[in-house]
Amino acid sequence: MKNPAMTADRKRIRNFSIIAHIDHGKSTLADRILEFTGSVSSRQMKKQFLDQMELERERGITIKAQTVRINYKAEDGHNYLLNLIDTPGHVDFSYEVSRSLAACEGALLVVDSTQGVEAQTLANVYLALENDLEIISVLNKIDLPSADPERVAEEIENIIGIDASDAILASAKEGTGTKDILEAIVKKIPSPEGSPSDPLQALVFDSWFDPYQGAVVLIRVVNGCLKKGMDIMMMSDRQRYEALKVGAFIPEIMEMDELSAGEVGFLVAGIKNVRDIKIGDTITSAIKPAAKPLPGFKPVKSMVFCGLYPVDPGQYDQLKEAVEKLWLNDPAFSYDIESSSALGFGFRCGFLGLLHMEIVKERLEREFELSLISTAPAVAYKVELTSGEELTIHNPAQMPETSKISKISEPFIEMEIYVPKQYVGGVMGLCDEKRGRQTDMTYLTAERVLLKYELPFNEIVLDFYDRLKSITRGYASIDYEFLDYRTADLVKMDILINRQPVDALSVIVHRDKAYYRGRDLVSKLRKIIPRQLFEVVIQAAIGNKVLAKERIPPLRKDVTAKCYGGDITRKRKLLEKQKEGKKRMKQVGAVEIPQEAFLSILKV
Amino acid sequence: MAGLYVHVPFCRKKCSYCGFVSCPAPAEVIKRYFDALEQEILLRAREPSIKEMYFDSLFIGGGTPSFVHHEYLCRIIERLYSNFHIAHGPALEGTVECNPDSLTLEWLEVLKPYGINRISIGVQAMDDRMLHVLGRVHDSRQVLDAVNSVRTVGIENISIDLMYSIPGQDMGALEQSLERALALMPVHVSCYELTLEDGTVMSEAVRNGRAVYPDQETRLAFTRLAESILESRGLRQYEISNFAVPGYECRHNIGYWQGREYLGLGCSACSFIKGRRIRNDIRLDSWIAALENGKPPIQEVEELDFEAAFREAFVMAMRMNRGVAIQDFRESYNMDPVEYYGDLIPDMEARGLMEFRRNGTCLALTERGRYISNYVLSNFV
Repeated sequence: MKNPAMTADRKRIRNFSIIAHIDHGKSTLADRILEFTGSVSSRQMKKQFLDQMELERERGITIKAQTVRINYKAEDGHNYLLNLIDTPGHVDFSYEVSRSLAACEGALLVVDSTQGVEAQTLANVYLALENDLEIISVLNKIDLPSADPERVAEEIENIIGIDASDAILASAKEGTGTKDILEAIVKKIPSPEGSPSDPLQALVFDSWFDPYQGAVVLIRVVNGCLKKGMDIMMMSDRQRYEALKVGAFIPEIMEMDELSAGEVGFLVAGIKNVRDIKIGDTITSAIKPAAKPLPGFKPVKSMVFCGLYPVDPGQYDQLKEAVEKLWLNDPAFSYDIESSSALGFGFRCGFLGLLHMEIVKERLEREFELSLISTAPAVAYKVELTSGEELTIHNPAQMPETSKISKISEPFIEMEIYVPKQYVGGVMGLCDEKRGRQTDMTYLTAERVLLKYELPFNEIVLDFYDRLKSITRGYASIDYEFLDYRTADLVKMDILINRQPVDALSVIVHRDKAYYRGRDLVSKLRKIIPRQLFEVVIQAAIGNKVLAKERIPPLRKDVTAKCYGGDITRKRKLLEKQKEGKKRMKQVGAVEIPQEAFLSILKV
Repeated sequence: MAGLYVHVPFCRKKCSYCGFVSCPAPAEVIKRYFDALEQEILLRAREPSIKEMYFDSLFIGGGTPSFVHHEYLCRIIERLYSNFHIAHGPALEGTVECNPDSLTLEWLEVLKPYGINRISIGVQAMDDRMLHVLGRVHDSRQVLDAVNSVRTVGIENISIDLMYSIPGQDMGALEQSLERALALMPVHVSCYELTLEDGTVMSEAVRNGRAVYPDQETRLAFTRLAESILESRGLRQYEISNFAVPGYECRHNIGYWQGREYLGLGCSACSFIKGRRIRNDIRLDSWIAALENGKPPIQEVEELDFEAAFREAFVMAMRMNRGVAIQDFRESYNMDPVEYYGDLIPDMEARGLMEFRRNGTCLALTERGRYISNYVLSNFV
């Protein structure tokens, strides 16, 4: 089976994922595996080969799952076909992880031997265990002097409860242990079950949009055989397509004649719109359909919302096009048209979490050459009106008048925080401040503690991560899941600039915290808004009640500098810079407000 | 007619606020610098567009030209005369920048016959406490000696640089400093605010809170005080930071604001020739190295398109108190600035920042507009 395009013997197929916390070396290990098996020559090798998006490489994170088909000649003399299904490592993208895991029989659990088990790792291991995956522990970064593989192995046993006595010691950076890992994959991970002669059942676990081919669908064939040219059908909506292209990534794209039970690969079927594909759907034969679909996935739901507006209102059409394109490609992203009196026309967009939000904004700006203003992230509130009507509010500006509201509820999450014991006090203080309720506290080892909290999600989207990071010097890791909606004493706070409310600056806050947030916000805005030709008054108010007020005196004096040696260019460039800055400002009434003002709300 | 600028990037000590190309240097580097400068003169003199230029102002600036031995300067000026068309006698405005600590009678006596008829002295303040804050190496007594020396050799065209908005300065101190400076009877004063340049000792001190830069209201009060004292002594403001007894306005500097051509020689020097703005290398070593290898030491050439050049000319000319003569612009650019800028000028007029003068033939900044000239002019650039 030298030719990877040949259909493999099912007994010699191994489908596996890599589970790891950010920076624990997942992508580097994948690189080593590709190199060791000769899938990628060192000449072709770019660091973090699987992170194809520019953004993924820059940030050192994986956003979209990727798959690679690898040939490996094992010590037993047989050739094996390994399908590596890469997974994202951030809490925002855990839905992608669970989908990838559903396509595997085993997983490598990669833990940094200088750090230990982190929350996200654990969450993903539990997902893997729920899927009955065989888990191979890999203790990475053993080349570093601070590596402590024994302690970390003990942590794996204590925290996760799996046997780590035969954990593989590896250094993905130096290539140590790569062969042991490959042998363990072959020996420990079971080959896929399923029958090639049964009717086709292929699980859709990811898809993306390709401008030339339409939707590219990643599938795991569970039963039967998917052949090129076959008439296929989506089992959820009975839509029919023709399988135009079938194949795998090795890691570059390779077309094949068929994918058989147990194999992982891609399908191109002239599907124009990625939204027509439901992740978790089952593809079957249109002629000889399977009796029932495979179990699917829970649909993903946007959790965090913000407004995205073009800095230059003339770019609205471009933004619209970009948002539509991105929507086609990212099922977790949602949008609606919205308008703001301060920012003009834009979109209210929904995301899985803050990282997802940042990444989408950055992709829009980079890939579509847009310059955007984003408003403060908010969660979805449920509002019950006195009329009995129920609303879901994604934007604070839409909040109805207080007199019409009978109650407001906000989403709560359950959060697990893993933290070295010396930071427990600080983390508990932060969670209290964020209106959290502790539900559990466990010493996992003598050094590490697991804290469980119920927290209002709205407090998390503000500055929770940054605060947690600084309190614990980056040593905490978290995972959370959505719990329920709970009634709370929430109010809409408006920011008024020269007595005019700025809709894009409105926030929803807990009444007990309104005064402090109002004061912080107003003082921050005072620092960000430059002096104007007239006095500017900034106020924070709930209804007619002003909570905080600051004034910005009028512009009186620029600096009068000397012109040395006729350097007119420098002088002109300084003025041009000032002009550019002004152009990027938004006009509210007669007041020019810089973009940072809208972002500042994030940090208060 | 054009201006000729020569940069001398050496000082006894770097001042705490100085963000320009200048530093103390070993004698060997100074020697190599002037050798390279000679090479630059020879190199540039061959360019046809420079051959056509006639210079009626020469400005030797720095740094501190008075800090280097007069032999170097004389040799350079000789080379300038023999390679370029330079006006002679009173037809030339020949300025050298000097610092009070290094200016000697002998130095002046040697330089004067080379056409030097104007001395610009970096006084900055007649207040030893402020001079210390600025990191200057002289005191106010040395200023008196320096001015006496200049008068002794028979040069009456004396300009002094004065600075305000210095950390620790108050209105009384500024008034006293100005009075004492004006008692020297300069015919020209460059009076400007301390600018915090990134990377300087001063801006660091302000950032760390060790020094306090005055707020806008205070700086405005300082500006008003300085302007009123200067005006009351017959020194008329002709540009945002320049004041002169009528007839003694600096021809060389006015050239910068009014779009006159100029040739700049030396490290970091700038030129404006045939619509192109050229900047020499600002790194001393690579500037010298380029010339030692017979290459032009140019770092940046900028050619503005017609519209950008028009806007630049408008903005720079607006720095002059007399403003922009609309007819001149129409003639030079075949474009009327009032029409070109559309609503902007009426808008500025309505806000009291610009005004028409002389029956609408001239457009100038109002007093308030002048105080916030960066704000106003950034709309026009």
